[in-house]
Amino acid sequence: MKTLNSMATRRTPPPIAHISDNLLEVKNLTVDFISASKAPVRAVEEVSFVIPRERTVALVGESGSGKSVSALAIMGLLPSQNAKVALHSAIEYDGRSLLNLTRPEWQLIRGSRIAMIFQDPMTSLNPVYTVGYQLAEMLRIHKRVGGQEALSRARDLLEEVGIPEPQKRVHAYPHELSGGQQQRVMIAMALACEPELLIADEPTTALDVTVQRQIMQLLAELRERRRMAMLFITHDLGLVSEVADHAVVMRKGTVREAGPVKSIFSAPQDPYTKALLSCRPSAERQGKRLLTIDDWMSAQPSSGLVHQNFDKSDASAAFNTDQGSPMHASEHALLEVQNLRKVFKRSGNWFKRDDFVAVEDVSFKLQRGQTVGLVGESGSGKTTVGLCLLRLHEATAGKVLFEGQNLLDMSTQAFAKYKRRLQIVFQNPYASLNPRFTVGEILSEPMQLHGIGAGNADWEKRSLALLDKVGMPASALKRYPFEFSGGQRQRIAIARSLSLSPEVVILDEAVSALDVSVQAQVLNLLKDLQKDLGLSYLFISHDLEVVRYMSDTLLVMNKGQVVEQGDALRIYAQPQHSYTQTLLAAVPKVQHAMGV
Amino acid sequence: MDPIAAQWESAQKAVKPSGDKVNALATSLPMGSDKWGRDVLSKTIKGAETSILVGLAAALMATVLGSVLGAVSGWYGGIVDDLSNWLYNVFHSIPGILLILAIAAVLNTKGTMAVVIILGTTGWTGTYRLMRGEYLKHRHRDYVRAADAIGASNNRRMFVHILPNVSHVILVQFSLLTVSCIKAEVILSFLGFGVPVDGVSWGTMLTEAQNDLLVGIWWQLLAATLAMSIFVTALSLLTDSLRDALDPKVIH
Repeated sequence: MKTLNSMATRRTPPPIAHISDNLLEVKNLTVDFISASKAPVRAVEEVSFVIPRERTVALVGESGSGKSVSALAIMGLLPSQNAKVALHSAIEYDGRSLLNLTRPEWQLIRGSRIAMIFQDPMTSLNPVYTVGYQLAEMLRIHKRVGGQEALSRARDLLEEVGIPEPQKRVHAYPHELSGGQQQRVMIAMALACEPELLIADEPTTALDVTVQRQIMQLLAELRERRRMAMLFITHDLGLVSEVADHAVVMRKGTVREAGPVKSIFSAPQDPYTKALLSCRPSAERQGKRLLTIDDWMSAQPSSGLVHQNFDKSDASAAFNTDQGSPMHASEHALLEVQNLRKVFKRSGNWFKRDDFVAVEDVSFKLQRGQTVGLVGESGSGKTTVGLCLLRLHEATAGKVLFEGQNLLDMSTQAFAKYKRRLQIVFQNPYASLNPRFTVGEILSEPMQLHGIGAGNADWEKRSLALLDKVGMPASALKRYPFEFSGGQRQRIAIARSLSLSPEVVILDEAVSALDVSVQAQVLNLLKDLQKDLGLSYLFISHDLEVVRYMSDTLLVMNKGQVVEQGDALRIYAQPQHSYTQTLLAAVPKVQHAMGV
Repeated sequence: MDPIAAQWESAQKAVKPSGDKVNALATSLPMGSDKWGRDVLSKTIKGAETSILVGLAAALMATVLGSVLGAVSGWYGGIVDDLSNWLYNVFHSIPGILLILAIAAVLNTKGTMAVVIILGTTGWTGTYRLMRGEYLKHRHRDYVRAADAIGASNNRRMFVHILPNVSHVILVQFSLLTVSCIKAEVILSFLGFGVPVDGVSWGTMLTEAQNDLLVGIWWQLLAATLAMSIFVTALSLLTDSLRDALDPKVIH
């Protein structure tokens, strides 16, 4: 079978570097998923890379790129019934092949020599045992240490990963810890047996940016101190430039580009890498159309895309000239929110109510054709604000004036008329479309309910026009939501909100669940629609870069309160409040000069 | 109306006590006869009429009752939910048989329809609990919120948006309830509330089979059980394929 190697290498880029002491070598990894009913799906094709000792290698790619499958193959965790690794593939760990190990042999390696951290700490920890017990269990199994000693070592580990009061926290249950602390516990578990290689699969994706920053620092410190090698899997190029020495860019199961991080960022060779680097909204791209993957993949080298060589001075000029945007001048706003307050009633015990103030005193104005950005971390109350505006949550106090009419104190019947004019797009396109409705039904239902158009034929015609507007083919009409990808579903959700020709659209984390390249397409679409239809957006997101790219004015929320409010560019350039400053500093930024 | 009525009548006329086991099997009947010499095969076929009617009608009544109550209480919550929960607890805390007897005593009528009503009004609790849970879960889903945002009414959201998404629960409950209703009819018939003594159902056959077994006649029990299992299997297959047919994700 070795002869196949020579045949196959022709398609793969050369391995990253020739460092003699490689801890792990992956050669021509090819994985097929077989199912009874369908043709086999090739998840990973001819992937090769090496992980040198005490270095960090990043696997970068969007969903479906095969990065997680590669990691699972290294850990021997692929489902054996339907995942098939090609015979010519090789994974060598310390000179030893990992592909044909028996179960007992794996147990000596997994956990103790190679450890893994998963994306979501909530689901990786067992909720019915204390974290100390779960840590001690690792030590008992792999290190064969007794109960008391295991527990004291568990305490030391918790201390090492920066958990405050480890002697107390060792007895805490997972739900008593915050998301960041849970991820620290997961890291402690991975470290328990002093592995030589740590595989981190999107370890910070489920966390807020400020917590992400702390976890990344912790991982970098630990890698240094424990002299481990790390395989860091992520979709976020900013993070890669901060932690990794080498990067492997993957797309659709193949390696597009591999090399030292510095050269990948300063002189990317592959159009896909270039596209990934340029489709994120950032300061330099304010007011410009985002380039999508398609733009890059179809672009000829040295074509009209050279203008992407952004000049920093260009952007700073935009910062300084406060163009005196119309929103400050105009008095009558389309939508005005005054002192909005939302309290969730939670019954504590008999004597004391344990109420939770989700939103406290939020006020802002939204002008026609403008965008107000609402940014904050999870639990900041930003989504609650959006839901209160549409009366999907009942606000406790405050006013929402739409053309001077208070939406919150009118009757349900009176408000029904306004539902046409205010619409919302939700975060998760997988949850916001009824799985039992066809796309045609989804799009025509709002018109049916509001008596727009006449009869099935007319609704169908209008639905087709909507699909066209959001860049979807007419054939989508008769199909069900599950047949579409995340980006396409979000387009359908946007089309549904547009079916009533609204004036205000609330975008609640509307692009957060999407891959960066798809995100760019949807952001472009939203900008185009705003221009064509004169829409006003309330853009809610945790992602500062995206909000800033979209918004004219910005509200920064923390724990239910607006901590800073004003012109988006001004806040980004000169944040006044300490929380805004922390938030801005926590955003991972590409560290190397970009050569895109 | 009844395609086998004439046959049934002639078979009834031919009844004479055979007394011993040898006679019962020696007849030319494919499944033998019972203690009294009646053809077990035609009894089973005639019994299907009552049993399937009771099973399906009672299960339908119980599922509809449970689903609607569960949907309403899960969707509205608050006082509506409290009241339905009290009702549920009352029905659920009384032992099943006792409740059936109590309602039978209150109704004070006999016959197939009475059995259907009794089983329908006592059997809804399980479905209610499941549906309430599903509605509690689904009412905060984004697609339901989205339906609210486009102006769909409460009823529309409950029954047009959510119901198809939880229909699998109803179908499974329905097929399970049908089985338990057929079995419950046995008890009612045995206690004299159900099918009249001269009527035939799989339930009465099972009751008779108890006595028959003592004299070694086991085929009546076999026939009734066989008929029940074939029917139940067929019903499960039907509800399973109905579930698949209603699910857009399954490629037809």
